[in-house]
Amino acid sequence: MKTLVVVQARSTSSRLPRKVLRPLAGKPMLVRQLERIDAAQTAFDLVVATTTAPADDAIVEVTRRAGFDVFRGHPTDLLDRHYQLAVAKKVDVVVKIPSDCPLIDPDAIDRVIGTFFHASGVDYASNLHPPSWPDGNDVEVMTMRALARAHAEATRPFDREHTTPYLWDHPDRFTLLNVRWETGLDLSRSHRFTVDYEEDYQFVARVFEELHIPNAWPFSLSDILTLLERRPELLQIHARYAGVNWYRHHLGELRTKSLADTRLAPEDEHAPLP
Amino acid sequence: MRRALFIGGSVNQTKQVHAVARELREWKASFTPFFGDRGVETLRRLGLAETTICGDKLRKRCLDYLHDHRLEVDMYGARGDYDLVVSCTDLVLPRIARRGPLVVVQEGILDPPGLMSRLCQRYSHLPRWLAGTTLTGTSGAYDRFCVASEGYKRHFVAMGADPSRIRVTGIPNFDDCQRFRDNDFPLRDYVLVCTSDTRETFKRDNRRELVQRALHIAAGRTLLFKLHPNENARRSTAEIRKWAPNAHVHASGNTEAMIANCAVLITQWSSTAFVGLALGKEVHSNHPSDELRELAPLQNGGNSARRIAQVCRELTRRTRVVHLRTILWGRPSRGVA
Repeated sequence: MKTLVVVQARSTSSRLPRKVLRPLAGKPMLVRQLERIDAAQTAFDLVVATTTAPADDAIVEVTRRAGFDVFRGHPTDLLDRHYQLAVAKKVDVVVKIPSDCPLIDPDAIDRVIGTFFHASGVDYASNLHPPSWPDGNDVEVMTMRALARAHAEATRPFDREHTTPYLWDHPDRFTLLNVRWETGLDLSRSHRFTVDYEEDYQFVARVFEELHIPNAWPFSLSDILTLLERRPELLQIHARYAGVNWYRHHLGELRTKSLADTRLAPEDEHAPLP
Repeated sequence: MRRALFIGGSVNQTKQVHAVARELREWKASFTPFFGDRGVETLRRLGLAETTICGDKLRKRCLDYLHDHRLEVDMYGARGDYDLVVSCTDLVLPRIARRGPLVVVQEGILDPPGLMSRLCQRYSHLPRWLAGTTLTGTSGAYDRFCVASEGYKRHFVAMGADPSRIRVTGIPNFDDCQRFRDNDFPLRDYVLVCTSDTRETFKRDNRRELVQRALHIAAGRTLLFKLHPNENARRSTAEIRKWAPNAHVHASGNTEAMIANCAVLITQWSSTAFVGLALGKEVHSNHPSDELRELAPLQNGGNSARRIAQVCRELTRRTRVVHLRTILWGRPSRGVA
């Protein structure tokens, strides 16, 4: 089974432009994340999927300079970008990881992919439905067949833009599996390791300052949690965004997510609910 | 190399699981401060578990101990995939511990039964930790429960524990009390009072009555109070100063050394009564003295950790066989020998 991990990245984030190029311990955030993904034990190819927009030339350059493969595809249809890349690479299994998770735990990647391969007849596995790991450890695994079917059938702009919601919303068509964190805890709404806002970046930068050791194996999720146990004030840097998820804007469209699964961001509080 | 997760708690409990880990040299050991399930963690974040081993204060002490001893910390067992979990209690068991194999080590003396323990036994949906440590050993969620003495084994069986899963090993912090005689604590032949954190754990405590009883027993001899580490030291010190102005008050220090040098030991609900008994002291406790003698931990020259490690080895060897049987003939029930 040839497995491909795809990290989708673009530089035109509306809330924090060029965030993936911001430095963490002397290297771009995207490269730091690729290093962490590369530390997973599972055998897979790793490719950054960016867009054909000139604004993303910098992502191509940074990725190649760091020694990783890069692919350019549709600027807004992420489902198409994933599909075209998977076809080009002739893979059996595609793993989708967003590029705003610079603290992603290699063990979480291994756990989700491993569970997917151990289960028989599964089209899609993730650790997101419901989530339990700290937010920013998003791993979604799907068969090429499931990706191709979603690519052929999904028509909602929202499904095209985010790749996997079509699978989430059709448990009648796909066999779905959720991987829960072994600890039994759910830190997805209290611990935010994803980068969407300036404060998120400040938090992650502080974690790297505290834990990063040059030329050493990447620090683990356990190391981060131990740091936060000793320095709980670090969580206050971006506490107002804890529990905020991107799909809060699509609650009316998503069948599998409700307001109970997310919080509104401070800037949403005066906006009408979707 | 096989991997074991040791779940600590108070410093006493953490020392115990550390002692077991030291004996399991062929295993890769990771440690975590105590943590619970989602409900318990929610209480902790709300600050409602602060006086328990789930609270931030005791977790920090545990982490400090782990760092001071350069032990590998795996917070919450986040790395997962453990071949063995060793916990200091079964009152709260996170999911990672329930996956087994799980060995629980008795921490020491237990809270006496009361209304809350009867309610928890009657209404099984109530969390057993509401009754303090009274219902320790009654979860049935462990594969092996290593206890302090034959007396405790009888006690746990009477409480409903499965005798086939209980092993009388002794417990590491209370199995070699003679060694406490070798200490540099400067005082001798005083009357020592070891207080309990009863109020901090939401139980009744008539502190004034305790101080007056201590003054009566001391009958003019030097009186020394050693406060429980989880106690509000400022409040308790002020109370003692008011009712026994000449007494010495120690909020910290080596309790066992203080017991070794005393003439009389007065305790409330504390495991220190066992140390006093083992050292032949005159002991006054809220627990009946006959009961204490029956329950007193084995004095085996400090071999409890080694015995518990052996229990872990036997269990995990057996678990491998059961795992093979499971593959061949289906799932066995937990703990079936």
